[in-house]
Amino acid sequence: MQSLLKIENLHGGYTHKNVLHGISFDVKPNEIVGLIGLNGAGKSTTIKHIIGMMQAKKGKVSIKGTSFEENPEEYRQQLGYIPEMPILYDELTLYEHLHLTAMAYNIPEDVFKKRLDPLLKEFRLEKKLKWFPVHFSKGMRQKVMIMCAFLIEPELYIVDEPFVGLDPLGIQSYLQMMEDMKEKGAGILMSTHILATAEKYCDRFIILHDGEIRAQGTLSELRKSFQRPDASLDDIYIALTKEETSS
Amino acid sequence: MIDAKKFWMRRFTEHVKETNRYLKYIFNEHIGVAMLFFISALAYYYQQWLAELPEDFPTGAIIGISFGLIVSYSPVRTLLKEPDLVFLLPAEYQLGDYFRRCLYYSYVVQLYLVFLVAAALGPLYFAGFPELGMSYYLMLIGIMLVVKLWNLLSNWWMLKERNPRIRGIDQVIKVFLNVSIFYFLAKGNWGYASVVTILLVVLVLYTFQLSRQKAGLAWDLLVRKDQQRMRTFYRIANMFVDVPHLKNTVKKRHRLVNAVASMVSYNQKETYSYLYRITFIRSSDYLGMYLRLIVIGALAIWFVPNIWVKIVFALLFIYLSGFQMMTLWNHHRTIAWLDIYPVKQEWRKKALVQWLNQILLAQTFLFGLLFIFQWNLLGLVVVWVGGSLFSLTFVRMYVKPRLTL
Repeated sequence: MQSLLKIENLHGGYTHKNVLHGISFDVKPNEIVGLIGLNGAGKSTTIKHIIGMMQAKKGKVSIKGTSFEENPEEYRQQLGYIPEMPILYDELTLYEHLHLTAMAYNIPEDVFKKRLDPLLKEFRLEKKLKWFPVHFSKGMRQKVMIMCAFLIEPELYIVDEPFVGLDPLGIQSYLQMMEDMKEKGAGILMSTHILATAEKYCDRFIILHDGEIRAQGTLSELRKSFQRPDASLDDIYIALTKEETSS
Repeated sequence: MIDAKKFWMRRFTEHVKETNRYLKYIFNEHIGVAMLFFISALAYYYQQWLAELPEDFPTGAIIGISFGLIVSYSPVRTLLKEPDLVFLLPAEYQLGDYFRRCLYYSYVVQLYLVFLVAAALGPLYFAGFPELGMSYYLMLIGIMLVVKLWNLLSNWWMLKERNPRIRGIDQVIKVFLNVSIFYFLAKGNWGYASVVTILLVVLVLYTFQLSRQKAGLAWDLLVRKDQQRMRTFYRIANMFVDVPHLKNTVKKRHRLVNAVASMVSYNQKETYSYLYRITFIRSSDYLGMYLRLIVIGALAIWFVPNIWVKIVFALLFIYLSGFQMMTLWNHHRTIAWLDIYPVKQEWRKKALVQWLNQILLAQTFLFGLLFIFQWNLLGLVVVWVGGSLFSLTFVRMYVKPRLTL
C-alpha cells in the first residue's frame, strides 16, 4: 500500500548541531504508529519537521508524495496536529476555536455543523461553547485541541503526547475516535510515554534514541529482534536503554 | 552580608535599561511629530482663551486641585521583584541604604510632573492673579517640592500598614489637606494655609509614629505595589509597541462579536478576517484605543475654530488609528497555528488590510458627520474625500509593506 507519510533520511535540528541523524520511516493508511523515546530523543523535533514548522537539512518529508516545499497549503491541508501543549487563542471562545479551525481547513459549513454536536457530546463540552480558554483546565484545553483535529478529519494525524492532563473518560473518547478514524482510512502518528496504552492501540512502533531509530516494527517483530518472546513494550524499551548505557 | 549600595546600583541600571527600551518606542518620531503638532495647537488656543478669561473663572480651585493631586501622588518605587520575598526577606535590616536610595529615586523621577504642570498652569495663574506675580508663583512651586517630600515619606511609612482601609483613609485625608493648602496659597490666604499645613504635618508625624510600631516591612505589599507601577507603564508602552510580558485582558463583548463575525462569510479565504475582527473587538487594547482616538479627535475637530486646522486634526487622528491598529498583525505571533493552517499567507495580509481600510473609513465617515452638525460643507467634502484617500493610501503604502512574517 502507498505510504501516507514518508520520511526519508531526515537530518535536522535547531542549530548547526543536528538533533536528528538520518531517520526514515513511513505511516500508511489504516494504521496507528507509535513514536517512542526518552525525553530529548528527538520526538518533538521529528514532529516539527512533519508539520512544516522546521525544514529538513537533509532528506525529505512528504505526504502522499507532496513535500512541504513543493506546495505548503496542499501539504498542510492533509494533516491534523494535536500539540503536546495546547495552543489556544485568549480572545476566542470554544465555539470560535472550532469555527476558525473549520474555516482554515476549508471544511464546508454544513459538514462543520454536522460534526460539531457529536464531538461536543463525546468530550462533554456542549455547555461550554461560550467559554474562554482562561477558564479552562489543562485537560479541557487538551480536549479543544483534540476536537479541532477530529473536526477536520484529515488523512494524517500527528499527535504529540495526547494523554497528559486528560481525565479517564477523555482518554477513552480520544482512543475510541482514533480507532474510528483509523477504520475510515486515516493514518496516525502518535508520540507518547504511556507505553502500556501505546502497546494496546498502536499497530507499529518507531523507537527513537539520541536522534536515531534504534528499532521499529510491530510488537512481535520487536520481541523477536530483542529475543524476549513475552516482553511488554515497557520491558523492551527499558532493556534497550540499558543496553545503551552499558555499552 | 549584602552590599546594599551595589545591589541598588544593579537594580537601578536594570530598571533604567528596561524603561528606556520602551520609552524609545513611545517617543518615536511619528508620535513625536504628532504630539508636537497637537501641543502647539493646544498652546495656541490656550493663549487665545486666556486673553478673554472670564472674571469668575475658578483659577484658585484649579491650581489647588492640580497642585494638591500632584503632591499627593507620590508613590515609592522599590524596584523589588517577586523572588526578593524569599531571598531578601532575611536580610531586611541590611537593606536600609537600599531603601533610602529608592526614596531619593522616587522623589527625583517625579519632579518632571511638578515642573510640567507648573509650566502649563503658569499662564493661567498670571492671568487669574496678576497682582501676585512671578516670584510668588515660583515660591508656590518651592512649597510644592517640600510638601511632595513629606507626602512621599509618609507614603513610605504607611506601606508598613497592611490594612488597605487604613491606607485608603490616610490617602483621602492627605489629598484633602494637600488640595486645601494649595487652594489657600494660590489665593494668597496665608492664614488658612498655615492652619492646614500644621494639620498635614501632624498627620505625617502620626504616620511616622505608626510605622515605628510595626515590626518589619510588608514585603509582599511592596512587591505588589511596585509591580502595579510597572504594569501601568507597560500598559502605556503597549499602546505603541507590543510588550511581551503584559498579559492582555479579554472582554467578552459577545453581542458585538456576533454582529461582526456574522458579516464574515464562511470561507477559507476569510479565515483571518474572522480571527482579526474578533481579536480587535475582544482584546483590550484595540477597540478601546480606536474609540478613544475617535473621541479625542472629534473633540479637537469640534472645538478648534479654524477649518484647515480641523481638517489636519481629522487626518492626524486617522493616521494615529491606522498606526496603532496595525499592531494587530503581530498580535498572535506566539500562536503556532498561524504557521500550521493551510491558508495562504497573502490571504492573511489581505484580511488585515481590508479590516484596517474599513475601520479607517468608518472613522473618516464619523469625523465628516461633525462637519455636518457644524454645517461646514467645504470641510465635509474635504474630510470625506481627503480622509478616504488618505486612509487607503496610508494602508497601501505604509502598512502593507510592513506586514512581514
